[in-house]
Amino acid sequence: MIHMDEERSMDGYDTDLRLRLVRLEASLPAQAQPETGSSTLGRRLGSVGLGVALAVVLAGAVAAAAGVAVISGAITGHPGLWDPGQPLACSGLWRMSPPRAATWLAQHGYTVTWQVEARDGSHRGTSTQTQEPPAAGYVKGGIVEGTAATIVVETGPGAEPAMVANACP
Amino acid sequence: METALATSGAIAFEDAVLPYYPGLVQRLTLIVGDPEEARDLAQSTYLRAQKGWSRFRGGDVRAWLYTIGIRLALNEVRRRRRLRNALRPSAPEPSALMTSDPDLWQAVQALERRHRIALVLHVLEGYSYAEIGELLKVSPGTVASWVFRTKAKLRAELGGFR
Repeated sequence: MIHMDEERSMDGYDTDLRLRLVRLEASLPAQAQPETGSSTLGRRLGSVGLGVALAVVLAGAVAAAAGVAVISGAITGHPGLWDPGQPLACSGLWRMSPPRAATWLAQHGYTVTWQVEARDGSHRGTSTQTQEPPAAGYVKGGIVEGTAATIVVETGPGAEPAMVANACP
Repeated sequence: METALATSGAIAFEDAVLPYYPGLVQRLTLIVGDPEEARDLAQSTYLRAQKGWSRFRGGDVRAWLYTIGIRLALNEVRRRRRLRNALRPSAPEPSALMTSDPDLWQAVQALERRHRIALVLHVLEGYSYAEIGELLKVSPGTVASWVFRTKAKLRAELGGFR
């Protein structure tokens, strides 16, 4: 029997599973933006894979409910690491170079483990952890528990840091 | 004026959504197990979000975007069932993808997709069973059972975490 009031409790096992899943997800291949850039909707649709385009057509009305479900506010979930109220909100760390991020994190009292996802330009790469910030790449994610932070950095071709404006006042 | 507003809206959409796009692709890869399919789904998610942006009433853009993507991933499963995998090759073996944690990757990919989604939403996003149930169109009790059994299965296969 599972008690519903236990659902939000996070024991050590859940915390460890979460951390491991975060690391796993951060090591998966990413894509900076949609493949066709900021073109029109019609042109973008032209580049969508046949399978997914058909899925959109076949599933039309059902899929449309996705937006509705969230727009209605029914689905909330936890905010992301950088969102307002979260430990790294307004930090500007996202897409920052690791050395700059290390400075910011040290100034704010965090002990950091760096998870370095090194890409070779394809889907493959290596994932290592280090206590020293890598010289290149950019911050792409992380997890914070108290003052312990695991910060995920992507390095490799095209993994250039960027200045990203945040929505904080 | 209309053109200026439309341009402004487009910029606001991209500013709000694009920062979450890399993470969306990774989340969808975790859920569907196939980077190519994940990129297709992310692209469709982006299009759908763009289309619905004018109706977005503010709040958590990331959660909104991710939920659209997960909906599309679920629909893709249903489509595949209908078309019996006729239009696309099957996903590659999970081991074909380099990850930081091959054991966990294999174990997660071996889960039924709905169970995987429930696990990810609960453990990574902190969604309640009721919220997940609403998304997956099952009862909260069913979600609770899935999550409980999935975590027990992972613990049995992988041992303790860390």
